[in-house]
Amino acid sequence: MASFASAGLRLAGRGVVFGYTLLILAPFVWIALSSFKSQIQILTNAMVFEPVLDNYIELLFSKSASFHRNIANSLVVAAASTVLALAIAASAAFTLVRLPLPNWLRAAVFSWALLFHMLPTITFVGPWYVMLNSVGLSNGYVGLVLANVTHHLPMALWIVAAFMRDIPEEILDAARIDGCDERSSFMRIVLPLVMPGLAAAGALVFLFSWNDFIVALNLTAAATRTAPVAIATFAQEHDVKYGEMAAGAMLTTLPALLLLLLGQRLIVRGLLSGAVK
Amino acid sequence: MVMVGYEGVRKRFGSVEVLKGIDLAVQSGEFVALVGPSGCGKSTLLRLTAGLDAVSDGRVTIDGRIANDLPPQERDIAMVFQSYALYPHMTVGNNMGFALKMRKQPAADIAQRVQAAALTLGLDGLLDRLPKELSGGQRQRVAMGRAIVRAPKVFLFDEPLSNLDAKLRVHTRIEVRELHDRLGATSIYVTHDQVEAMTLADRIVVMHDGVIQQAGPPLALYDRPDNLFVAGFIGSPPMNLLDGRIEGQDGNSLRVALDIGGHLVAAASGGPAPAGTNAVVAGVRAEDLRLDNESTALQCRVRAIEQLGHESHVHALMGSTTRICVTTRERTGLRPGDAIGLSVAPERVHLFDRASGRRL
Amino acid sequence: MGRACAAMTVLRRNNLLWRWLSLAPLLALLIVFTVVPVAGLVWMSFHDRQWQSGIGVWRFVGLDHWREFTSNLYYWPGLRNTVVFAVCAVSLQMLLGFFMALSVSRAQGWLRGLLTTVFLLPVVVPPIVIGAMWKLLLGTEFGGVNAALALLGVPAIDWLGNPALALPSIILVDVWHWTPFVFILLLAGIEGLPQDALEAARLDTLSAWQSLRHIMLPLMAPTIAITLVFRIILTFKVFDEVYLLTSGGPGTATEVVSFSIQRTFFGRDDVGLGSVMSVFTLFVVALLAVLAIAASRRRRSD
Repeated sequence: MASFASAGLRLAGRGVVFGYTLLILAPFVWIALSSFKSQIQILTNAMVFEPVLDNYIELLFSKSASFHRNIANSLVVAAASTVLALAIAASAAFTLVRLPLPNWLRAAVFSWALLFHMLPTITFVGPWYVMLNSVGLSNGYVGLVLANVTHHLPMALWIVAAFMRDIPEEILDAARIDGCDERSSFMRIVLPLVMPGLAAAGALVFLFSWNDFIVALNLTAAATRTAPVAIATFAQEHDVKYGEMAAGAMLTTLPALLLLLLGQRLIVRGLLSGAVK
Repeated sequence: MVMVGYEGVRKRFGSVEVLKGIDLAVQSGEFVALVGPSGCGKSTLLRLTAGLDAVSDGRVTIDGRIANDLPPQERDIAMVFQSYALYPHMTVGNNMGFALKMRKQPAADIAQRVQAAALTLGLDGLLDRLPKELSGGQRQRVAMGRAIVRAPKVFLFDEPLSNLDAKLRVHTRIEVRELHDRLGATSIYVTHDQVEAMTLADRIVVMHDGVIQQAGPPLALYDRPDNLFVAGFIGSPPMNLLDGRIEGQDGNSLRVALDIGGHLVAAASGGPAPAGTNAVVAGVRAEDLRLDNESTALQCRVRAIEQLGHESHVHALMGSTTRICVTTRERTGLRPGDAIGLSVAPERVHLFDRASGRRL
Repeated sequence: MGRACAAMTVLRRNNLLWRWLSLAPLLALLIVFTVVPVAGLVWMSFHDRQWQSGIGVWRFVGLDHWREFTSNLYYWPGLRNTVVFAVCAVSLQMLLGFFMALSVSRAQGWLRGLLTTVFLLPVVVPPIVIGAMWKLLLGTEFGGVNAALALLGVPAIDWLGNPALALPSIILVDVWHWTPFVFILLLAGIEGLPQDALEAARLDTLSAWQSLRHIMLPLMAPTIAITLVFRIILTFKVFDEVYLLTSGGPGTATEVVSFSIQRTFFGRDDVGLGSVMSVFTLFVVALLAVLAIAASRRRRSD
C-alpha cells in the first residue's frame, strides 16, 4: 500500500485526525450538556452541575410552549418535500437519461440544475416571497414545500440520474421486446432497480429540507415556523435563553443523528455522487 | 414460406453505413446463423429485426408484414441476449412470465406455460430464485426460457453462448438446436464463432463489412466458398492461400505458377476463365495437402509441429515468408527444420481471382 | 393491417404522454421557481414598492436603486468579506482535509467506520445548530472556549465582539464545519487513484515527498481543483452561522453578501435595492460558476 508521507509525518497526520475527531465532538458535547443546565448554570459556566430537564419541559410541555409545533411543522414540510422531490426527480431522470430526447434539452436541464445549485439561495428567496405573497401562499406549507423541492431538486436529480445510468441497456431492450411501453418500463423495471438511489436521494432531501433555515426564515409565519427558525428566535431575544436554545438544537439535530447512525452509507453515496459535481 | 425477409436493407449511423444492402429470405422453421468478424453488421441486422433500431433504407418483413415501423413490442419476436438481460429484481418465474403478463394473459395460463418451459430446460426447482443466485449456465437457460414461453414467430439469438465456458458452450449448443427442432421455430442466430455456426445452422450467412459474402448450407460454404473472405473465414485451421498466375489450360486442368515458386494443377471449374487476367489466389485446405516426395511437389521447411492427439498440425514455411499449414491424422516423425514436399489433388484446389476475390 | 396501425399509434401516443408527464413537473418548477424569479429580480430592480392600505403598489424608478447600490455601505464591505472568507476558509479546508486524507488513506476496519460517522456530523447537522453551538462556545463571559483558556491562565477573549477577531472566528467556524466534508471527498479521490501507478512511483522515486509531488499530486489535480473551485463558489451561500453568531457585526466586520441581501430585502423591506444586490450577486457568482463548469468539463474530457 503506497504511502506518501514518511512514517513520522503519517503519525503526525493520524494525530491530527484524532485531534480533529475530538474537535468535532467537543461542541456537541458542550451543547448537549448545556441543554441540561439551567440558565444560571450556563452563565456561570458550572462544570459540575446537576442536570435538569427544565429546558426540554419548557420547550415542549409548558403552557406557552410551541416548539413541539415547530418540530411538527418541520416534519410535515420535510416529508412532503421529500416525496414530491423524489417523484419528480425519478420520472424526469429516467426520461432524460434513458429515453431518446433532443440532446440540447438534456444538456440544458442538467446544466441549469448545476448552475442553480451554485447560486446563493437568498437571491431566489426574495422573489419567491414576492411571488407567493401575490397569490396568498407566502406563509403556508405549500409555498415552503415548493420552494424546498425546487431548492433540492438538482441534487436529487443527479443522484437518481447516476443510478439510472447504471442500468444495462440490454435490460431496457428486453423490456421493450417483452411488450413494455416507456411508462411500464419505468414503473416495472427501472423503478425497482434504482431503489437504492431513491433512498439515498430521499435521505438527503429530507435531511436538507429539515435543516433548512434561510428559506424557512422568510417563507413562514408563526404558525408554520419550522424548528431551525424557532431556534434562531431564541437566540435573537434580548435575554437569550441559552438553555432552551441548546435543548431546541438537540431536538432539531435528532433526524440527522438518526440518519447518520442508520443510513450512513446512503448519505455517503448520495453526497459523493451528488455533491462534487 | 418466408418468415423473415430482408429487401435492400441499409443502416447508417450518422455518416457511417454499417449495412450496405442486405437481401435475404429466412424460411419458416429454418435455423440461420449470421457469422462474421466484429463490425461486419450482424448484430446490427439482428437489432433491426427486433425493432430495437430503425432501418435506414429497404424493408424488413416478418410473416409477410412489413415490419419497418413496428416497435419491438408489436413484432412477436423473442430475443436471447449475450448477457442474458434478466430482470435482477424478479424471480426466475416472473422473468419468464413477464412478457405474457404484459400481454394480459390470465395468470393460470402464464403459470402453466412457465412451468412447462422450466421443465424442458431443467429449471423447475429454481422458479423462486433471483438471477443473482444462479450460475452462468442457469441464467442462460432462464434467458432461453423467457423466449420459449412467448412462443413467438421468430427467435433471435445474440451470441448467447459467448459468456459460457468452453465445455458448457458445447453442451448448451446442442440443446439450443434440440429446442429449435422441437418447437419448430424460426431462429436467427448471431455468432462470431464459425464452429458454432457450422454445427447449429441449416444455413450460414457470412457477413463482412456490411455485406453478405455468401449464404448457404454449412458444407456448401465449406466445400465451395464463393470468395476469398469466406474461404479464409470458414474452416479451422484457415485455408492456405497462395498467390499465383494461370500459365495455361490443359484439357480439364489449369496450370498455376505460384509466385513463391513451384506449380499447382487445379481442376477447371468448367466455366470460362475471366478474360484479361490470370492473376489468381490458389486456396488449399490444410487437410487436403499430402506429404509427397515427388519432384513436382512444393518444397517447404517445417517450422513447428502441433500434436493434438487426434491429429497433427504441421506448420511449414515456403520460401522465406509464406506460411502453410498441413493437418494429418498420422503421428508424424517430422521435426522443425526438416525439408518436406507437399502436393494436393487438383479437385481440391480452389481458385480465386486475385483482384476481385471471387471464385473462378 | 388496420388493427396493426391502430395498435402502433396507441403505443406511440402512450410514450409521448409519458414523456410529457415525466418532464412537465420538473420543467414547470424550474421555469416558475428559477427562471421567473431572476426575471422578476431584474424587473424589481427598476421599480419601487410602496404599501397603500395593505396593498403593494409598484412604481418605475429607472436606475435610482442602481445608483443607491454603488454607494451602499453594507454590500461592498460584504463582498470583500465574502471573498476573503471564501479564499481563507477554503484554503484551510483543503490543506487540512488533504493532509488528513493522506494519513488515513487505506486504513481499514471499525476505526474507519467510526471516523466516517464522526466526520459526517458537521455536514448533516443543521447549520443553525452549528451556529448555536459556537455561540455557546465563543461567548465572551461564559463560552466554553474562554473557559478552557481560563484553565491555562489566558484572559477571556472577545471572539465575536472584537472587529478584528470576528471575521477570523467565523472563518474558523466554517473551516470546522466543512473540513470533514473536504476530507471525505479527497479521501475518496485518493482511494480512486490507480493502485499500480502509485506502486510504480514508490519504486521510481527517492523519497515520499518526491512521489507525492511528481506522481500523486498531478493525478489528484483534477479532483482537488474541482473541489476547490466548487467549495469557493458555495461559500457565497454562507448565511446561517453569520446570522446566529454575529448578525454581520460588529459594524460590518462579518457582513457577508447573503446577509446584506437578507437584511435589505426582508429586514428593511427595500425590495428594489435588495433586487439590485441580488442581480449583481447572481451575475458575479454565475460568471464564476460557468467558468468553473466549463473548465471542469474541458479538463474531464482531456
